[in-house]
Amino acid sequence: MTLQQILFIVISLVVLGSAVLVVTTRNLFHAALFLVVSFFGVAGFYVLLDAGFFAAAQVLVYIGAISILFIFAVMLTRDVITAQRGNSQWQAAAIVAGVIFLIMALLLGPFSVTIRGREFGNANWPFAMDGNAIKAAPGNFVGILGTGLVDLNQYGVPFLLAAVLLLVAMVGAIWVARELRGREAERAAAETAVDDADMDANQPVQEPLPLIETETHEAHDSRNAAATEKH
Amino acid sequence: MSRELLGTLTWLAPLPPLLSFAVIVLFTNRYRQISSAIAVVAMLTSCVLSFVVFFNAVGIGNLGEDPIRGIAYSFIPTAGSTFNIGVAVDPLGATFMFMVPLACSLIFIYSTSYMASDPLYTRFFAFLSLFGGAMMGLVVSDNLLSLFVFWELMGFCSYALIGFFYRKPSAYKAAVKAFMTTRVGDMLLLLGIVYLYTQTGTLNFFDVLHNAKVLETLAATPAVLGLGISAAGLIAILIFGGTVGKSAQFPLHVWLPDAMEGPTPVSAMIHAATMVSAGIFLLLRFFPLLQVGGPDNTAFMVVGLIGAITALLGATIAVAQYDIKRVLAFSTISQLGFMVAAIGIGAYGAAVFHLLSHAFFKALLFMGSGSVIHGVEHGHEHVAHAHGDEHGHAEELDHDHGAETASAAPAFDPQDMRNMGGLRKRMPITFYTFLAGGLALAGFPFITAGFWSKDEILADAFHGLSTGSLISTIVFIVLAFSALLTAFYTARQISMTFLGEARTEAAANATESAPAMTFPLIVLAVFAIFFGFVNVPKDFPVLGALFGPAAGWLKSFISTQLVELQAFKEEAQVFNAIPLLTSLVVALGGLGLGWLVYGQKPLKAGQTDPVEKLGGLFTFLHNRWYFDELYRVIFIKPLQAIADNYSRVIDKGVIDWALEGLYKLGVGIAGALKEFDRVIITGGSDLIGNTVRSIGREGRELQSGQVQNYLLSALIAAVVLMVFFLVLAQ
Amino acid sequence: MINGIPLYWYLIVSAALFCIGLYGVMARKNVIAVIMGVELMLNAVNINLIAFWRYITPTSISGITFAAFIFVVAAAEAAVGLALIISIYRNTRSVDPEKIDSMKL
Repeated sequence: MTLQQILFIVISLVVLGSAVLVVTTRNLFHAALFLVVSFFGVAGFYVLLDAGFFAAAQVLVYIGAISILFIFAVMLTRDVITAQRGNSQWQAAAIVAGVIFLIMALLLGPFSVTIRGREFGNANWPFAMDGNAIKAAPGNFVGILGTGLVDLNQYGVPFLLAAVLLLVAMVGAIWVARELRGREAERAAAETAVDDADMDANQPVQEPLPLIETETHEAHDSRNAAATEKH
Repeated sequence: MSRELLGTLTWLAPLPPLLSFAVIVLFTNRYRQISSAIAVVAMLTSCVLSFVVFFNAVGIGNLGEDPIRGIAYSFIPTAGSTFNIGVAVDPLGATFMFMVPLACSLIFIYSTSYMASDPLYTRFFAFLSLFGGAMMGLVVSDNLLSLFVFWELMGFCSYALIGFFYRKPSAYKAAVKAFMTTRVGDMLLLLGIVYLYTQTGTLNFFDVLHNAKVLETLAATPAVLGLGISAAGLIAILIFGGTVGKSAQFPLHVWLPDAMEGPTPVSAMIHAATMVSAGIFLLLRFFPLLQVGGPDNTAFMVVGLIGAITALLGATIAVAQYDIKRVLAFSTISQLGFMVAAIGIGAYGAAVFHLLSHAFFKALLFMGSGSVIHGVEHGHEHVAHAHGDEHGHAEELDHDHGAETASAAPAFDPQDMRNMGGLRKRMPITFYTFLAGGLALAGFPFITAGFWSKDEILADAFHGLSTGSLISTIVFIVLAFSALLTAFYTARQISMTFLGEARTEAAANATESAPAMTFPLIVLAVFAIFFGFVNVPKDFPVLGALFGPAAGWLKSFISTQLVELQAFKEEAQVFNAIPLLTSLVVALGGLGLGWLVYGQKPLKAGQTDPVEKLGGLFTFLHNRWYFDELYRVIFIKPLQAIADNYSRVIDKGVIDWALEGLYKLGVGIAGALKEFDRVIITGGSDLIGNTVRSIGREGRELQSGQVQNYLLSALIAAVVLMVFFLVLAQ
Repeated sequence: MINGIPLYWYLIVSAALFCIGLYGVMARKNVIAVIMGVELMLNAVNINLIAFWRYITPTSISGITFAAFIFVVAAAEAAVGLALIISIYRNTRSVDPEKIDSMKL
């Protein structure tokens, strides 16, 4: 067994184990931390694949940015997080996910099975089975990737579109998550009320709640205080 | 102008409205005037670009064989080739590039005034721009895929605009209805696209439809499922399914009348310039597929029959409606039936001609009716104010008008023609333009566009009849009768709305609309009158000679489209007096009958409509042949019942029964075996039982609104399909 | 180059990771956890892409370009998704996907 093989097995155990914990652990904060571990493992795969650039990007983007976002989201919504493991359909979900994995394993696994005259398994594709099939590591692949991304004849246009997508996502995220204040908030509340009344008379109208309740209480109090001072 | 430049202009033509949608939504949605100005200017720009392409295209002799093509961009790489998206203008597309932007621009201008007091003014213009841009994109598309994308975009816009007054329950219900009904047709269309792609490996119109070899192969291939028709026929019928949904043909016509819930410019947009024309446009595009099966083939029969049924259905219902816009809605359905029936008898040129002339006069009629509604609403507000200000006077008035004002007061309907009358004097411009549109719709001889286009269809149908074609015979008789009804209900509508004395105070105080609303009416009235002269038959007595070489221009221009199929080209027709006499008789007869019943003695206030004397027939027609009720009984109720009883039938009936059997079996075996076995078997069946029970519990809530639930259902379906294709299918 | 790892190892591991993510998306009772599942699935796809690139076409960049775009999309998806969660939480005081059922007519 080569060193790489041992590394691979260790990394897969880490990745899959922490992934399982991500989707099963009760504590969401722990789930976010296991997600980080899992991302690290995936970065390890990239190193094994001689894709150092992607390993770095994985660490920066996934661990440095996305995981932090998750942790923030978890902490912001901490007061309503329930300790339940799964929803009412978790058994069915587990069965379906398992069956899908079995189907994929049947197609990719290192064996050859014939079911009703059709061959399954990867054994008839020797390339995938060959432990030494990996080709020589490309030299300056980051450079080639970089030129390819800015070359209009290769991926220039998609690259620009990706940039636009990021911009739009950033603006959209700010827009969606912003706190409504003043007249805007009143209008939104009124619209929600009217829509609810129109669409579903049975549903009680839910007032939009501020993210941090104390803040509005304080604001309310200070307004009251100001009013009292005037008197 | 070089072809390359024209191709580039064709690329650019749909862009301004699409860009204006983005600009309005993103940047100017707070500024009403700027937004509407952007929308109007963008549409006018698109109009100018299209006109440049159109007038250049007209000068190209062999446009049919060699259409203007823009650069095609490779869009989706497929295994062996790439899928190219491009634009093209052939004679059919060129005529649409004239009509669509012109009608859209006028509707935009009209809307600036009509919607002026609406709080969601900018949103309206954003959607209107997207709607117009999508239609332009659809017209210039050179392949079925991008056409389908724009087609769906229009579906979305119609949803958003029909439900524009979304606070009103009837409006959002109408929006959902329109969306769901057209979806049925779109599904068929998508199947047609997929089938066409599997058969030919391309979706480009010119590779399929201008290629005699491909067409003949398609015609020679028998269709799947052993339907007994050719692949060409089946594809044509599936694509026609899309038309049935989009162009509101029987049996999917039910959405169009409800689409009246949207603002009136939207109705004009849907009924004239965009939605319904798109359906017919698609069918016209795929005319070669119909044609390749020869005259009177199954596909032609289906199209012709559906068209004839729709024409008759729409015309009869329109006779018994009171809502001014609903009359027009059913007349649209009926006129679309005319076009589809014309395609069904192979009268390609006549269908295009009628589509164009109909677009002009129906846009005119809709905007005219909008102007009427606007005027009556103003009159109503005026009256209400007067009542509030001078109480004593109001009492007097109330006394004069008796019960009518009192009954009308709680819910005054400004669209009800019974509340109108005498508007001729109050709204002269609207009246004369509406009259022009109405006469065109009725097919008033010689001086209206509607006459020439309808006559063309009847002439072609008669030609088919004389050669012994069954479908042509049916179409000729049904369309002649529908045309009679059309003239009658047009006369009824004009008389009830404009003639006689005002039947309500609101009508008496109605005011003429602003110039921004009347200007488009005047322009369209000109087209409604004179557009017919682009296609006066060559051998028409006197007039044909008068027009000389210009006679029959549209038809000869359009027919170059079908150049690849010389073998199927219809032989030159000889002029025949019978269809001409028929169209004269039905148009004048219908108008005369309407005049006798309504025009001579206009309705007095409170008098019942003479049509109501038809009794049961009237009720039947007024309730639109009870189609909505029928669909409720046939489709909606059973589906609801299935959904309601799903848990009872499946969960309790099937699963529990099976489980109980399994369980009993397990207990039985276990009782016979040792303790050890019993634990395993009972435990096993319990596990199965619980799992199945939980799946059943999920199944009960199939329509749960929960994303995770939907994902689970979709994945279960995916697993079933995977197993099927990997293992079971051979 | 000898490292003894056949391509199918990567494929199986990424299939497993994908299915674990899928389970998380379908079964978690918290929208944030659902998005974590989505991220796991995206990572699984990326492993696949990069493994195929490395084993089959190391000289062509199409595989890794896709991987790079998935990074971009994942970042955008996480940002917008979490913003939506915050907004939903503020309006309904809940992050339970089973309670968010306004898609029901």
